[in-house]
Amino acid sequence: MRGSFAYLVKQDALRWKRSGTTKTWFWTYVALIAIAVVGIITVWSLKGRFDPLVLLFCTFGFPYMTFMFAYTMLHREWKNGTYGWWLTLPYPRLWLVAAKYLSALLQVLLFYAVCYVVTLLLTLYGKGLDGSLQPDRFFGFAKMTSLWYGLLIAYAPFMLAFGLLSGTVAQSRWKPLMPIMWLGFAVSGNMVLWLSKFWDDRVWNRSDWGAFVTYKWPVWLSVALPSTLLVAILFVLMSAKIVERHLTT
Amino acid sequence: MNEAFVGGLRFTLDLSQPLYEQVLNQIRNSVAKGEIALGDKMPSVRELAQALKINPNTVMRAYQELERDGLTETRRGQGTFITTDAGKVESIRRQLAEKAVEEFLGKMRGLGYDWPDIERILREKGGETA
Amino acid sequence: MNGCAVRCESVRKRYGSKWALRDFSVAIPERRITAVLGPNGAGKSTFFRMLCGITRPDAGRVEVLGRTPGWRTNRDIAYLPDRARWYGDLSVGDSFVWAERLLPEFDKERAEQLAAYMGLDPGMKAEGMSRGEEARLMLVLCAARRVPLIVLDEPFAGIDLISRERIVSTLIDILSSREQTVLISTHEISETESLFDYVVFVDNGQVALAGDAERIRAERGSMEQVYRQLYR
Repeated sequence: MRGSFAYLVKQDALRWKRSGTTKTWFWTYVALIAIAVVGIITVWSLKGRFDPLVLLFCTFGFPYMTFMFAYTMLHREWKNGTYGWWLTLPYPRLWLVAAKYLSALLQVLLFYAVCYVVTLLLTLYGKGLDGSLQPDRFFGFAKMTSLWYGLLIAYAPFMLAFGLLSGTVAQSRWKPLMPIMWLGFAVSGNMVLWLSKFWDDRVWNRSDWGAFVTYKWPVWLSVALPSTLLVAILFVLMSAKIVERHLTT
Repeated sequence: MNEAFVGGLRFTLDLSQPLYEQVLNQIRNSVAKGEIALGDKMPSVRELAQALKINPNTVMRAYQELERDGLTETRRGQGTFITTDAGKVESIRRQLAEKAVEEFLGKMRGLGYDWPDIERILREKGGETA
Repeated sequence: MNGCAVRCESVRKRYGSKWALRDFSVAIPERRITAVLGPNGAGKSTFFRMLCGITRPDAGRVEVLGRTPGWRTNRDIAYLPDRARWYGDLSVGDSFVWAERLLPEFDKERAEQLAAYMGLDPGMKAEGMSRGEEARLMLVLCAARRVPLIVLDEPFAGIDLISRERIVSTLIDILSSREQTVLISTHEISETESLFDYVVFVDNGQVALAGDAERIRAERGSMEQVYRQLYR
């Protein structure tokens, strides 16, 4: 049917749509967290102890969250008892799986974008407050943030695909392999972060918040990241295969 | 037990016997008794099926049989109607009556009564209900 | 004579050490309503899942509408899964949009009529519904599709009396047009047996008895009585 694939993607994206009361709770929490964060930064700035790198350290959990996001998207059909409807939809299994993947990807990218913007805004605010805001410093920091988020975003498709694959494996006759999947999850979550040597002391000058010394983009990263994309595609195809033939329903 | 009253016809269905026969016989009975008059419109297959909560197929079979008997006629676009031929109805009445008597006689003979006894009881009882 | 909507030949299916279906053979007539009866665990749901391609047989042949089960054949099948739940964030109206976009031959107008008949409020979200209301909604999603085969796994489970009667009424309407094949499994035998054209009694993964409902009645009594005889 025309537009079915697009609709499937949309459906999974809007699954987080909340009803009246939980919507209020959600935004209340967001507001509270926002107030807390701004408050903490304000206090630190006024004491002259706000290092915006903290904001980047907060992103260490992102690859894990990304994996779990995709995993949940699949697991949810079973948890909520709707898998019967999903599996009997008259579309290729690859569509079903790819729709979930695409939906997750779009949401995750949106989330990263929002965090990126918020990071820069909070830095402007915090450093503006303690008086050390200078254009070249800020742009140095912005460059660093951009590079870092670039890495995160480049790595996201792989983590999403891995999460999706794990989700399907968990419902298939390959379920006994789950411990290996979880191990992979634990290891790969931080792999790029450490191996990229981004947080090496020779890359940036800790005492000087915006002084970006130099980041030499490791050659292997230029090879590794596109490879992760290929692996991601492979994982999505494997997920489709598992859904088609190997589920234990 | 499905009981229903629809379009002048009363039905009581026993699920342990074929339903089609019951629907057929009960309609015949109703016609013979005059519960539904000559030329009256019968409920549609769907209506009757809904009222009795039974499969429309079953109703359809019964209606087809009635049509074959000449007890009903279908007018295209208008529905199914009881025949206007009084003779047909009369002959059904007679058939049902004969069947009732046959059953009665069968039961009495089964109890061991012969004709003189049966006649005697009939007179006694007949007198009472006169 | 009619063709067969579904045909199974010596189908076997095992889950772990338990045989869900063993040497299961059946031919379901088309354009009739067939009831599949049996106690829990007899294999009814496994059978239905095979028709919709969710489960594959370990051995034997399954044919639905003359084809192999799978997502392609599902275009022509409206399936109500057993113990299914609905997407909580969707309202009745949203659900109809969902069906319109994703399920072929979905008749939205008919769905709205049926929803009104079943007492479903168009704005109500599935997460706020009682189980009975949710069950009715899912049934409407199946009944409002103009497809050759409708498979309902326990459509009466968790539904109150009045709603059950309305479902029966809806099924009678569907049957009146004589275009669709309906396959249902149910435990509410006495309430629904007057609907059945064809009946299949399943026991322990096999067909214990199958045949025309009226003929079984003539030979053995009501479906309820036969059930008691078979599963004592």
